[in-house]
Amino acid sequence: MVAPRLKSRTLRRIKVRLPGSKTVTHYKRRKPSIAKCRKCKANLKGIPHPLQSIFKNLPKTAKRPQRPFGGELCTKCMRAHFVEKARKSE
Amino acid sequence: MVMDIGSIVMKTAGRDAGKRAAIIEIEGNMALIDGETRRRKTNLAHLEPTGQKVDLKKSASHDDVKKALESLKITVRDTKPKTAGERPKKVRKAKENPVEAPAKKATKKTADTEEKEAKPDAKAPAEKKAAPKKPRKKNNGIRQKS
Ligand SMILES: [Zn+2]
Repeated sequence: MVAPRLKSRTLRRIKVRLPGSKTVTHYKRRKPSIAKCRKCKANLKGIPHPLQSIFKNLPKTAKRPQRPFGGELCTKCMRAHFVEKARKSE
Repeated sequence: MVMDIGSIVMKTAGRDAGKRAAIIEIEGNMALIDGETRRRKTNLAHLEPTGQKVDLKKSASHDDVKKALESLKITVRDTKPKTAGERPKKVRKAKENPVEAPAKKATKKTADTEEKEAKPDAKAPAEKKAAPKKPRKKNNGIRQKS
C-alpha cells in the first residue's frame, strides 16, 4: 500500500532499479520550470533550474550568461535591442 | 551603411554587447576594434554601425584611438598589464605552549571528582575523533537528478 501522503501528484515519481533487479519508486520534489525570455517567452539557455536550495548555493557566474540582459532576454531579443539602439544613436 | 576603418560601431553580441568602439582593421569577415570594449577581433556580423566616423589609420595604436574617441566622449577601456607580484607565503601556526597544558590539567584534576580521574582513557579517543575534519565538498556542479 502506498502511504496516503504519497498518493497526491505533488511529488514526482522516479523509478529506480536496485542491484537486486528490483524496481522501486522514489518520490522527489518537482524541479522549478525553465527560465523564459522576458520578451518572446523562449526558453533561456545557460540557466540551470535545479531545486532552489541547490541553485542558491551556485556561484553567481553559473547562474546566468555573462552578457548584458543575461538571464533576462534571449540572445535574439538582446541583439535586436542593441541593433535598434545603435541605429537610433545616429 | 558601410563599415570602414575609423567608423564607430556598437557591439551587439557577447559580454561587450552595447559598447561602442572604432574599427581599426578589417580582414575578411573579421574586424579589429578598440574603444569601450577591449581591443579585440570580432566578427563583422556582431557589429552594428552607428553612423559616426573618426579619422584613424589602419592598425592605429591604442593611444591614437583614445585621442580620436575623446571628441565623441567615448571613454576608452584601458587594460592594465599584469605584473607578477610576490607569492603569498604560507605561515604555519605556532604550536601551543607545551608548558601550559599540563598545568591546566593539574588544576582540573584537583577540581574534578575522582570519577573523572578514573576514566582517562575514555576521554582521549573522543578527542582524537574530533580532530581530523575533512573540508566539505562544494557543490559547484549542478545536480541533474535530484
Ligand atoms: Zn526573446
